[in-house]
Amino acid sequence: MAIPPSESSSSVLRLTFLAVMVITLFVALFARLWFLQVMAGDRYVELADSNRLRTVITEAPRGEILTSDGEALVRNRPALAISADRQALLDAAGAPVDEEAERVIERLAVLLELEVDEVLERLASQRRSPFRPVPIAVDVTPEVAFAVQERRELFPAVVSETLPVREYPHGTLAAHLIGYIGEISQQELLRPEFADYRAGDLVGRSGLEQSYEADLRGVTGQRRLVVNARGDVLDVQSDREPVQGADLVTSLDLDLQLATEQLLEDGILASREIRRDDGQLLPSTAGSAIVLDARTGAILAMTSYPTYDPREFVGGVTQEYFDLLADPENERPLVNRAISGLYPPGSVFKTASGAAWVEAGVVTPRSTVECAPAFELGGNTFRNWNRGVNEGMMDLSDALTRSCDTYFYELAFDQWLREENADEPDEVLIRVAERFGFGVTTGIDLPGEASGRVPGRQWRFDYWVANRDNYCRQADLASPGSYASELYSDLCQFGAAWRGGDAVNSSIGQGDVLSTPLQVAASYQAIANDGGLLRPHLGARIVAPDGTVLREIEPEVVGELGVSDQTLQVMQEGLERVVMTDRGTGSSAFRGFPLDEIPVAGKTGTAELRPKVPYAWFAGYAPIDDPEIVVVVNVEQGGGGSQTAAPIVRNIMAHYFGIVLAEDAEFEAGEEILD
Amino acid sequence: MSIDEAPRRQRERPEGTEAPPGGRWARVRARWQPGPWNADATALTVLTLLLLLLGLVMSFSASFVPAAEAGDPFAVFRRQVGWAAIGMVAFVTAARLDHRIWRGLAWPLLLVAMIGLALLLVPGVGETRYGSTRWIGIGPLSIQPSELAKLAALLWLADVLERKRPRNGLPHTTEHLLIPALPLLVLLAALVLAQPDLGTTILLAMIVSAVLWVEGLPGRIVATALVLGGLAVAALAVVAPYRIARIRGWLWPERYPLEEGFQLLQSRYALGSGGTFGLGLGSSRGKWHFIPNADTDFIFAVIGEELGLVGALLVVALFSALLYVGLKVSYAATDGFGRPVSLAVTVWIVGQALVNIGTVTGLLPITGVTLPLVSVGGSSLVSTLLALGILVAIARRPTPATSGAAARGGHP
Repeated sequence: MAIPPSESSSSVLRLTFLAVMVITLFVALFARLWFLQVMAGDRYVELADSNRLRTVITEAPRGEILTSDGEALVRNRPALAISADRQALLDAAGAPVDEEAERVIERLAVLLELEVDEVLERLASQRRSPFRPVPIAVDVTPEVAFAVQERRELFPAVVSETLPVREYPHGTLAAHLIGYIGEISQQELLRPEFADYRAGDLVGRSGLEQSYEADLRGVTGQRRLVVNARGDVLDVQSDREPVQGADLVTSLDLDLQLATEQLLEDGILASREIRRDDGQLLPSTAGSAIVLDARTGAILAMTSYPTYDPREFVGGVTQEYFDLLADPENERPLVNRAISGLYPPGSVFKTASGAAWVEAGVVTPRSTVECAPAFELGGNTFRNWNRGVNEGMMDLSDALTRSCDTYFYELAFDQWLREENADEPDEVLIRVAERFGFGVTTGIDLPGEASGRVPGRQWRFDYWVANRDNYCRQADLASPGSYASELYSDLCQFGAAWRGGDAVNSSIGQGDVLSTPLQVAASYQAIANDGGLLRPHLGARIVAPDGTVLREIEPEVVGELGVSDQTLQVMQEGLERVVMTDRGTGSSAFRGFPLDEIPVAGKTGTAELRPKVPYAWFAGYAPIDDPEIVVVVNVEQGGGGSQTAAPIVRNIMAHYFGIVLAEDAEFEAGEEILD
Repeated sequence: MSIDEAPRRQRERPEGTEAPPGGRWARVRARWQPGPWNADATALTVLTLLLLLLGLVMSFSASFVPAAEAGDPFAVFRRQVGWAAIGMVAFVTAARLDHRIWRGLAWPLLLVAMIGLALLLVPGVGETRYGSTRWIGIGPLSIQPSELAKLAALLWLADVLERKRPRNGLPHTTEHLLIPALPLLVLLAALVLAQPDLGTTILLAMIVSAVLWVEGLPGRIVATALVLGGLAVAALAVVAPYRIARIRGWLWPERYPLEEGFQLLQSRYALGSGGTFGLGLGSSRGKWHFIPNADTDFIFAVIGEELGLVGALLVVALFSALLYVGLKVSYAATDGFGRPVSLAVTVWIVGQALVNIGTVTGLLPITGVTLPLVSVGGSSLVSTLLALGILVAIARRPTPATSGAAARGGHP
């Protein structure tokens, strides 16, 4: 080779030396491994078994939710539960893995007095974390728990454990407000706001449980224990005590909440006895009621009918109950209609609309407009609710008292014409209604609040763009010359236009206007409160377990109605006369109410949502001179506002002022005015 | 000489006369034709594949516990398989090219490695884990420049020494050996120690010493360097409190069972639990958060626990076999570039394995060195496979005895 012998031999020598060195090291490794794994192996096995770490999680008790005077609406109690390891018993398809698992499930069914299918269903429930034993039965008797503990050989993969569960001392009371808790889902675990949650943790799913999750939750404790193979604790490596969640004191008045719930339900049920002109009974399918503190915006009572039982959610809701709640046939009891129900506000919107026409300058608060029986527009007749009667000249105050539709039609059309002729139309109604709290969320401390809608040109255009294809297709499908054909080809071509008819309908809270009962309540509270719009809220303060107040939730002014003192005064006068004078649309419902002692102001509303029976509204406040409460009631398909909603408001007010307590109250329907 | 030069000339100038068919790759292949495949190349390939396979199986077994808790039990494994695929491409490519192609690539590689190491010093560029900034994140990947540095350093040094080889066929003078080697080692060591990464620094010193040793550096100088190096390591250990703690934990793990000694003790429990035949694949208890870094630096403990003494010895035997074949290739290397490179690659991979297994079994203090081809870690896997590919190319001994001529005739 080319390498000279000297270099080659020296290199080879060196390589050999290196090889010998490395081989020596490997021999050392061999020896070491032999020593560790074979000779000293037993000793290390022993040490390994005795020196193991175990992490013990101590759940922090969740904070309670209390009424304003400290009564618990929801608290915790320990419950004995029988849980089973899903992965040890079921395969991926939800069937028992083997005959042994099948027998365990059968024994469980016998012990818990359940059907085998029920046990299987609960065990396989997808709302449960696969990493923790799945509770099969919560609240079992100690005997059942002992049976599982003592006959381990009969119940492999089954444990009895004590779980902290939510307890509702008042049952279904304020169920929509409290909300419920459930196990965190896999998707939620991936979101940044749940970074410090682990699979199987409970999390607020709705209501206050959800909106005050961070305060109520507390901090889980964690101990890292050094234990031996039998589980005996040898040492504590680290220890973090659980921190109990803080309590939420709400503004809810327990007595008033009870009364409101009862009076709404009684009213809805009683109104179903009322026969309408066409001979049908009023459906009164559902409804909601809100009582606000007129000075602070605090919610004293709020309810939605029908309701659900939060106790069914303790330890995991059954599929059967959940299906029941989700079925539209049952009017969706999980929905809190007071904040999530969207309805045309109908005549309760006339305050906002009246203020808009004054601001637009098409009328002054005291100038009058004829309350004609009908308003003609382009071949369409827009009638006043009071069919065929000319009620004469009216100012804003009278128009509210009599809920005169044509007054608002006339002004809305005048303003519409101005807007049409302007280069850049100033859509006054949208602007003013937003100051009155319509079309925007109120910011209440509950999840799921709807924002409603005050439509205008932009909305109409967007809606047309989204639906144009459908309109045009319908126009093609309809037989030529038919009404449908004309309607749809018109919509197909000109549907983007905001027409006079749209403006006229919006002015009385119909057409495409939508609002929640809470928006109506916030709006009337601002009127009662001389102009300041407050953020409605349920939370009053957060209190640590030791009683120190961590946070006060103060009333918050979120806006101003922005109307002149005169306008406000005229509106208040009109609302006052609605109840206080015989001409007022709401007066019939308040017959027998001591109005001279406690003067009441309010507004009836009857929202059309054809082909359904109208939705009944009443928004009122009392006493007029120094308003304490604002009460709003909505009854879906409850007929006239004066007929169904106003009497319920009357009863709630009577209870609040101690005139007739809820238990003695009777629902007396008012006159059927479909304003 | 003239006889030897003829084939090389042919190989060097094909472009102008007859461009081979195919693209650039084909031209590169034609120019850098490797020697014929032989038994050594087969042995190296088989050993590499066996270790890689064992590594993939064990990397899944050791990583699925924390990976499953983070949401996907296969997350670490899948990434490792991806890296292994990239590494195999590097291995196959290197094995199919004359290893002397790396002479020209040594400079750029070293430059890239240095830039990478220097970037780690810029605050905010590197990723810091366990108190050490060793990784650069590029998109979803984390790359460890020091892994490239090891390969680049040995290639560069071998290339420089080959160029400086005396024409008279005598061995290098001591100055000739030390002048390129020492500054390189000092510079790299400084950059790597700044991360800080003592384990890799020691490996770099081992690699450089191995090259110098085989090139004929006098024994007394090597001995002096080893003593000085030992003192330097001791000094480094004393100045950093965490290193003293590590030494304490190494010498008396049972005295600090939950602090410094924790990792070592847990690793001993794991190895001891494994016994002769192991608890069975997948059954390690240590990997359930007891052994820190169970899928990287301490994967050997999991192997020992699941596969027992038999499995642990198998790993040692595979690396021993690699050592044997590597040294054989080095003995037989026909050129002055291939010999030091093959030796340095062998010393590096086997030495790193020795240090790692020594650490896990408690023979050496913990330095944070991975088990080559087996531990989870992307850049380490790719650079190790690339180095082994080069080793295979050297084993193929392309066109015998051109090295001396080429070296003495100057570098192309």
